[in-house]
Amino acid sequence: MSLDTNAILERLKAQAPALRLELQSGAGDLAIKAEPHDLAELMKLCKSDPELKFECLASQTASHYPKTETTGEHFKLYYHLLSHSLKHQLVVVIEALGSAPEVDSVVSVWNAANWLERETWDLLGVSFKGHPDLRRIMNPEDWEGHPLRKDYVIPTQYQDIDNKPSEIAESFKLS
Amino acid sequence: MGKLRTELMTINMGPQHPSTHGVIRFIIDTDGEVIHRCEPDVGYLHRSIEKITEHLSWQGIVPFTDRVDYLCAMNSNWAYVMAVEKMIAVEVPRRAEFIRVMVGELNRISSHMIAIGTTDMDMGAFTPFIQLLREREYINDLLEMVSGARLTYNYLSIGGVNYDIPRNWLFKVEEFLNHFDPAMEQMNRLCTYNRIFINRMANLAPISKELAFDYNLVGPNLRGSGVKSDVRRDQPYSVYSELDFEIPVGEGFGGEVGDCYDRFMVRILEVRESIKILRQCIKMMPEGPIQAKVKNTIKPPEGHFYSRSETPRGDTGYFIESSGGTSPYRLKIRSGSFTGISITPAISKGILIADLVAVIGSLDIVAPELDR
Repeated sequence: MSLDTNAILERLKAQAPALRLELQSGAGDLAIKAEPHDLAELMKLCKSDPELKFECLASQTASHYPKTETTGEHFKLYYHLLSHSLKHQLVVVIEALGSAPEVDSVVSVWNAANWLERETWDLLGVSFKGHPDLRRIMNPEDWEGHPLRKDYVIPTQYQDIDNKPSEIAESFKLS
Repeated sequence: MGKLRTELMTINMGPQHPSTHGVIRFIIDTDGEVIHRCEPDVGYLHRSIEKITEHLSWQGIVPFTDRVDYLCAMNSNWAYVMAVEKMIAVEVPRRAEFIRVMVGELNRISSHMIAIGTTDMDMGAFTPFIQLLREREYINDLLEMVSGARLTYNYLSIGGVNYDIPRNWLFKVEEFLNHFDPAMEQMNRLCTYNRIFINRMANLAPISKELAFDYNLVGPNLRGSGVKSDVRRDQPYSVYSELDFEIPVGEGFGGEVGDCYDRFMVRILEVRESIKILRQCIKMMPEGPIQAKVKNTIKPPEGHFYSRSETPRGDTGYFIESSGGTSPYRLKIRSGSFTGISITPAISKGILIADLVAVIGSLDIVAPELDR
C-alpha cells in the first residue's frame, strides 16, 4: 500500500524511536528532516522495512549555503527515495554544517549512490565517509574547487589555456 | 616455445569511438578478448548547465534543456516546464496539454528510432539505420511545422506552448502514421525478427530486477527487466490518464528476461504504443487557448521541488530549489543515461569486447544527457 510522507514518518518513528526525525513542510515537497549521524541507519531501514520498501535511490544532491549574519556555512543534502513495488516516494533532507562536511555514504545500501555521491563531491565538495571510490566525475582530475558552490570563482586559466572573459561577455555580465 | 603471456591488458575505448554514442571513454582490462573489468569515464561533455541555470530567468532556462538531451528536446522541455508549473501552480490549458502529448510522443518515436537504428548499425546491420533516419526526417518535418526548428525546438513554454499548431498539421500527422506503421513493420522484418540479430542480442548481459533497482535504472531499461513502471501511469501527468496505452515490459522475447534483446524489443513495442496515443490525440484534440496567463517575472515560492516525467530515456527528475528569486537557487537534472551507464561495470564482466558495443547500444546512452 502506498503511503504519504506523514504515514512514512509515523512508521519510521515506530520502527526506530532513537532516530531524530521531523517533518519539513513548506511551499515545496514534503520532506523528512534527519540528523547527519542518523543517515546510514535511516536509509537502511527505509530499504529493508516491508511497509516502506524503498528499493531505489532516485536522486541524491546537495545545495550550498554560504555564511550569513544569522547562520553559519552549511549544506543541505537531498535524498529522493522511490519504491516501485509500493509506488510511493520520500524526500530526506539533511543539514551538514561546515565548509567541507563529511556525511556517511549510502553506497552500501544502494549502488546507485556511488555515482550520485561522486557527482555531489565533485560539484559541491561534500565528502562521503565509506565511499569506495570518491573521485571527480564531471570535472577533470586536476580541477580545483567545486563549481556549484555559491562562493566559486571561475578560474581565469586552466592548464595554460586562457579563460579570461571576452569584452562582449563582460558587457553581459551575469549577476 | 616460450611461456604464454597471460597478464591482463588495459585498453581504451573512446572517447572518440563510433559505437559509444557520444563522447564517453571506457577503460577496459581485457583477458584476450574477454572483458575483465570495464570502467566508464564520463564528463567529456560536461557543460555545467546546472551552474548556468543559476544565473538565468525561469523562462530562459528552457532552451538549455533542449541541449540536455537533443534527441528528445521536446520531452526535455516538458520535464523542465512541468517542474516550474508545479512550483507556481499554473493550470495548463487543455489544448496545450494535448499538443504537448503529441509533440512529446512524436519525439519519443524519433528518439527510439535513433536508439533502434544505432543498435542495429553497431551490430553490423547498416540498412535499418538509414531506413529509420529516412522516417525520422518526416517527424523532423512535422516538428519543424509547429516549432520552426528541427532538433532543438524551444517549443514548450511555462504554462503552455509557444505557437499553435498549423491548420492541416493533424492531418499531416495522420498521414505520417499511416505511412509509418507498415514502414516500421518492414524494418522489423528486416532486422528485429532476424535470427542472426536475435542470436547476437539474446541472453547477453541480462539485468535482474533487483540489480536494476539497485542501480536505479529507469524507463525502457528498467521495463526490459520485467518491471511495469512508467511515470505516465504511476504518476499520471498532463492528459495521460485519459489515454489508452499499454506499458510493454521485457518477457524474455529471445532468451532470458532483461537481456539486451528485451531492452531493444521494449523500445520497438513502445513505438507502437506511441502511435496508438497519437491516433487518439488526433481524435480528441480540443479547441481553445494554448497558453495560460503567467507573469513575466516568475518568482516561485521558497522551497524544493522534485518533478518526474517520462522521457524516451526514462524517468527524468528535475530537482529545483528556489529561494523565491527570479532564478533557481539550485537545479539538478537526474537523467536516465547517468544511471544507465553506471551499471555497465556490473554487467560487462566476462563478456566479449564486441558485445560491450551491444550492451551500450541496448542501454541507449546519450552522452550530453549523461554529462549535462
